[in-house]
Amino acid sequence: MTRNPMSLTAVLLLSMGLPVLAQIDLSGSWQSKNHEDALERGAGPNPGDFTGIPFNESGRAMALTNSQSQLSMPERICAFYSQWHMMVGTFGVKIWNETDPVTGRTIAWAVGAWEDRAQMTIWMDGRPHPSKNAPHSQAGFTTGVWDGDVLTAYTTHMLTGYLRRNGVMTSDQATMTTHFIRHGDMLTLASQLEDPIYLSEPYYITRTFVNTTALMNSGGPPCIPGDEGVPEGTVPHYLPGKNPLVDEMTKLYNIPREAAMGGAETMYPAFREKIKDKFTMPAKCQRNCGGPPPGQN
Amino acid sequence: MRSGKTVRRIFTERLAHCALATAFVLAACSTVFSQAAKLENGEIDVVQVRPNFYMIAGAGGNIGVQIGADGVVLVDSGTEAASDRVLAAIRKLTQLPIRYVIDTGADTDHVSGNARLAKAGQTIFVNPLGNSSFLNSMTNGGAAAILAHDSVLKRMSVPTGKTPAFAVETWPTEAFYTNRKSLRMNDEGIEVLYQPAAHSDADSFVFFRRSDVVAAGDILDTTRFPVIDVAKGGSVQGEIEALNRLIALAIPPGPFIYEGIGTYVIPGHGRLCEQLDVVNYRDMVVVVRDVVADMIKQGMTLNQIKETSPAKPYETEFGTQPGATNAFVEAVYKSLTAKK
Repeated sequence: MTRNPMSLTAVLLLSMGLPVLAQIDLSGSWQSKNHEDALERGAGPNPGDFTGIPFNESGRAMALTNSQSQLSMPERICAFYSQWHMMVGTFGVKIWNETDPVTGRTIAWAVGAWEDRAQMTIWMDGRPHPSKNAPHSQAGFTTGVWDGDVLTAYTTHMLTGYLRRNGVMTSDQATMTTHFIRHGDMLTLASQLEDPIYLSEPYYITRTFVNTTALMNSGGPPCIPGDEGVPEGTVPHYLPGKNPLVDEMTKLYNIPREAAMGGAETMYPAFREKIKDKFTMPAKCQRNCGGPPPGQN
Repeated sequence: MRSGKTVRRIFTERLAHCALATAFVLAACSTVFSQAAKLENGEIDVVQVRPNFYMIAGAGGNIGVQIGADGVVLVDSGTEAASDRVLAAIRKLTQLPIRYVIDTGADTDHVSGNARLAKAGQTIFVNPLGNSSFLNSMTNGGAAAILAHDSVLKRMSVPTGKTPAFAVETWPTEAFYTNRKSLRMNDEGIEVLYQPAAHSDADSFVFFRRSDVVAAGDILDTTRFPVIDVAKGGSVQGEIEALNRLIALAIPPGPFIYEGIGTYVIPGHGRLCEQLDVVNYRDMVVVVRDVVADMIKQGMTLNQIKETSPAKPYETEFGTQPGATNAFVEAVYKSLTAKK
């Protein structure tokens, strides 16, 4: 029996799993580097800290209306977060691909659920997003495309959720565009949130994960609401002008209210110039200092 | 008592079941969503809610469609102008006859298609002797029945001698006076639950118990602030109480919160909802009610209240239609200042 060396080479090349169409493997367990935005990913941001949020007027009014006691409403205890929480939550992620058993092609990439966030399934098979009248869910609906080595996922049909866990909301019309960028053992997610209801400009955030052999959780546990003291039908909220936490950032850090209350302007470097004369370093750091301020030990 | 190993095994099996169920649901949903996306040309959009249940959007108010061996049960009929397109959409789903049109209220965009859709259907009464005049006189002319609370009939008709807002053939043919009317169609219990003094004095929910779907009528309208017609018996407190009842009827997707959506709620207008959407809507009405009540307490007039934009947090979502915010604030104000 004779062998064709060219055919053998071709078979070997095909069997080596070389990247097709510049796709790369994202699968594995990825530990979150939580020193980035540690407060955001840990205990949660300070009340009244809306710095850098590109609010429109309704968005700001909504945040000031919100009382954290809403989380204890029986109807909301198990409601948890939208997919945006993947960008600001505390956990690492487990990622895997679902393949077509016949063709071997990747139908979808999955980012496993957390206990407070649903699984994100990124459909890669070209299916359309649902109609505007279809139901929304915490998971939302996500499709993806490869752009070189970067997987770009687009999420729609989410339920309302938190942009920041201090009352800054996302509406059910918010959309997320998330880039999955792998550099060896590092994975960067860069996401853009657009929300015509509460934001005047897109909001961007990045976060970094590192590949790990520790198994990341990929499924949420059951949730059974308990009694947290808010009676059914009660809606905790603040009346206009009566949110007691509105000056929290000024009291703690001398940050001027116009900066703490957010708005698109507060995202840009030029805004620092605008308020530089209104800010003085507090004599003593009172909370979440992350290290002594300059000149103090 | 279960051993730790048993518990772990059950947990593992549960996870496996979760994964399988999720994969199945996602596959099913993808089919449903694709269908919906394809059908979204023109104005009619058919969204599959359950295997035997659909929502038709784009024909005025949303229409619920339950299909089974007994035939088709519709909740609301949309506008008269859209009737032919609605009928065509139903015919794509099934050739079975329409048996009931159940009205959630008396607004034109929910009931003016009653006559066309009912006449396209067939009464549940049979006629083995071929005496058509007898059958016609006993039923809605042999057509499908139009079922609604008596308050809907009152709103659509007028005392003898005056010109009614709707043609006689659009009026309910089966009106009930009680707060609850039940029937069983397509192997499913159906409850029509009257909600007094909410959007108006003629609102009902229609609850399909096995399908786990509630049609809410205009008590829930995700496209705008609730239209509370105080002149027709609506009130903000009645609206809140009705939304609370809707929240109680709807079951959220727990304890396995990522396995599905729970009870589906079809709003009068807007996308298909679940309990959390109703909670958000109820919260909005409660917050604006509380803000306006506080301002009334401070002695502010309606115009002064309007100037403060008391519904500001919700204007970009529910106040985009011209005059919608002012109309809602006015309705809240009138409800709160009405003499008891």
